[in-house]
Amino acid sequence: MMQLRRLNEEGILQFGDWIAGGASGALPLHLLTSPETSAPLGAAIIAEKFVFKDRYEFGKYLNTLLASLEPASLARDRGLWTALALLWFDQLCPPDGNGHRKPEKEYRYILSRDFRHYYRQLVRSAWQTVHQHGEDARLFLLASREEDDRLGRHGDILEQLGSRQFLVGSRRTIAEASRLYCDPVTGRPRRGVTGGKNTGGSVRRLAAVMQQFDLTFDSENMASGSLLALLPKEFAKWKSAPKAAAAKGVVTAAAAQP
Amino acid sequence: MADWEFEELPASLVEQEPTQRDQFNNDDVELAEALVREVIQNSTDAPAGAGAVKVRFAIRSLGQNQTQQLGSLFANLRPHLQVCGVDASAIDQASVRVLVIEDFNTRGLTGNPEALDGENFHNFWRRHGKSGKGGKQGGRWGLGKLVFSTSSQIRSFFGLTLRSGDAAPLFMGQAVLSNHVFGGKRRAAHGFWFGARGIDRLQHPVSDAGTVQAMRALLGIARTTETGLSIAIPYPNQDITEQSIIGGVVRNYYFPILAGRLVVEVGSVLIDDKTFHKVAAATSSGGGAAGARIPLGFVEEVSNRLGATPPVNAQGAINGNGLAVSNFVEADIASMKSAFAAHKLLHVRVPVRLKPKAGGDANSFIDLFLKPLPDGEKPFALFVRGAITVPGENRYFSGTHAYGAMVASDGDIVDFLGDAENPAHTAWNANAEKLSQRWRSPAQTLRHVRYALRDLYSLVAERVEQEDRDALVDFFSLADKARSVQGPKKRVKVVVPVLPKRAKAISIQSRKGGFTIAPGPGASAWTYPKTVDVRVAYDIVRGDGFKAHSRLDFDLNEGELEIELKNADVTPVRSNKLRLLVASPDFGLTVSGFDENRDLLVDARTV
Repeated sequence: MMQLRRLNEEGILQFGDWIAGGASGALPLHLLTSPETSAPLGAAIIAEKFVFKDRYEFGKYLNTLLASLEPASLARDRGLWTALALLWFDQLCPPDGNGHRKPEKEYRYILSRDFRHYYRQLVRSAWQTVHQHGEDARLFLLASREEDDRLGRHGDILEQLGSRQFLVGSRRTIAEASRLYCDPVTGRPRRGVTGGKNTGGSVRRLAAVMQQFDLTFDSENMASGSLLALLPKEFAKWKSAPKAAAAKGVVTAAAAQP
Repeated sequence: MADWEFEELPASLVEQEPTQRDQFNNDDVELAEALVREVIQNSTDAPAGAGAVKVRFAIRSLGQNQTQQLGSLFANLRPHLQVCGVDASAIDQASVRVLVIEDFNTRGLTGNPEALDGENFHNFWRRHGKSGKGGKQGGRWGLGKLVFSTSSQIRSFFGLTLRSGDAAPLFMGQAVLSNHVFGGKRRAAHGFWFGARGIDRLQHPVSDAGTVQAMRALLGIARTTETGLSIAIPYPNQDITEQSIIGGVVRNYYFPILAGRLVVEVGSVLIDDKTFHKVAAATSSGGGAAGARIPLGFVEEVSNRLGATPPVNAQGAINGNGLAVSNFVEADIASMKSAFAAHKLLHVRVPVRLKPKAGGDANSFIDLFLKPLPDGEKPFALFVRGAITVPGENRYFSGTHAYGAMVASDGDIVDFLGDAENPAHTAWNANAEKLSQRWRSPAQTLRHVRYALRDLYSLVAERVEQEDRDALVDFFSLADKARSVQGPKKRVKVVVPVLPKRAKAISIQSRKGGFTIAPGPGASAWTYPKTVDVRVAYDIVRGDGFKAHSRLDFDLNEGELEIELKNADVTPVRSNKLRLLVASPDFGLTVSGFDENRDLLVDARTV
């Protein structure tokens, strides 16, 4: 248990230096308690150092933990998100058997001021997507296979949609994308949905087509399912797949009734 | 007769794809920019003498005969392109371009072209993901050459090299596709255009004078007797233009050009230390690689000071605690502060102790330059290794109120920082594999080098007090009563000349699921036949719909759309572009079958 504080500029700088130096040795957790490198939050929040099975669980926990803070100001609180990344660094960037870590780019842990990178911070993205999309955030946060889930995985879907604010900010669009791409039984994205820009029906293509629809449709106010009906034939394989799986799910559920 | 061949892959060999193309065409570095950076870096790695290295870029449009001649060179490559899913339609266009890149006052691809000797010829043509470079040289990863094939729409290029002592130039071609199956056999991703094979089936370059001369004339290679390397990229990517190349040169190589170490020629534009300012002023994008405007006066002042003895030398290497007060005697601190306060350029040399794993420690140094920010200007940082600017490092000088430059020119520090560099040479990585393989405590050394400029700024700028009489003018300003009696400004009536309205020659009409192109009143004045290019794309709210087009939106070549013609012929150019050859004033084109849920953007113009 730890009373949460936000890192100040000096704390962020020192944490960044530690990462740049290979993140070797003990975690600099003292940065979270020293008044020279951190400052108290307005509210007293106690964080538990749970071990999370996946990023969706992590996102849900963060939403509960930070529920007393104002979401609008919270979203850009660089010191807080960076402090949380330091607190859970052992799960975001776990050491190997020899105690060595392989940290990714600094912006994965330290919330970047650069608009190209801020959505890539591992803690904030988990909180933000669950905050905005609830259960549909599983599209962004879960891997296709359970064994690939880990807290340090940013994921291709989040990478491809995260930078497009008009998409990631739309509850309706993400709900429809989740219906299209997620397995209705497991709630996980199906394998192969990321693809490349030349892969028909991929997530990246959905972003491109939605950009075209954005000119003529108000997707936020469309009835459930209407958006999926508009999608061109390149999405056919994903549109038909959920129905089949859902039907199977209903039969199974009905069969299970006494 | 030279032609294309792809080696057969033994069944036992693991397939390895050249997957690193995105490193040279991404959000941070665009293709034209990556091409400029890689080419010039390669050329400045191989100077032949003490003078400036010259690099020439030229884009040549071929005539009808030459277009056919060039196309025939790829007859045997075409099926391989098809198997690999590479669009070969560029070969069939009526008018094509060739990009030629040549360096002068350089050594060319040295080494035995008929042996695997680890020299430049071997590294350039026969290695991928491995470089023979090190020390002061810019390259490290052996991936930079991938930018040449990436720049061609058919993933191919030719190279001609002349070395000191060569009787004739050596000419060869390469295509970098993907591993594929052709003729029932697994084939490697790299294919060669070559003459004959030697020991171990090694592909030998063509040196026959007649063939080389014919290729030189066809491709527009200017080199005759000068040593160096010429690259010809057929069917270059549409985004590569003389303007985008000039922009790339201005943004990335301002430092060596202003220092007189590099001269670049792009088409008819010469960029050297004398013409640089004029060229930069005429370049639409004056921003640096990191987006900031480049204060050329400061850069030039730094360039001019490079050869001079620095007025201040730091005491002791910075490896321990970084650059601090303890590195200077008191008098030096005082003189630096007063020079900084007087808006003079500070030049400080800072020793760095490097610890190679092989051999003893090496004493090297970096040069730091600092100048206070002129009024109204934005901070700027320049990190230079050898001839390369490393824009990603600028963030280590953020939050300051000054112009700063960190120049690493000494051999050992250039060697060290080169090992830390990413493949696109845009940033240093403390965890780079090459760094930890060759150096002890590299992360700490790199950290102190990165922060040295900022540390120097903290030393000299933290207690500078300046009087600014206008600092609070916005809060305590007094109204100027004299102005209020002047009254409103008199309006000057502008007479707008009446110009005759230009008659439209092309009319674009919307129709259900498509569009029609019909003649407008101006079409009667045309001389026939006339060529009209038609571009189509689904529109988007922000950005260029044509650029954002994907063949998955629709493909005009695939027969999925209905095309009706009247007194015109049509040739597909790209998946969203048609070339219309109009025979008479009563022409028409109708295309239908588009998705009616998306808005269509149509552009038609004469060629």
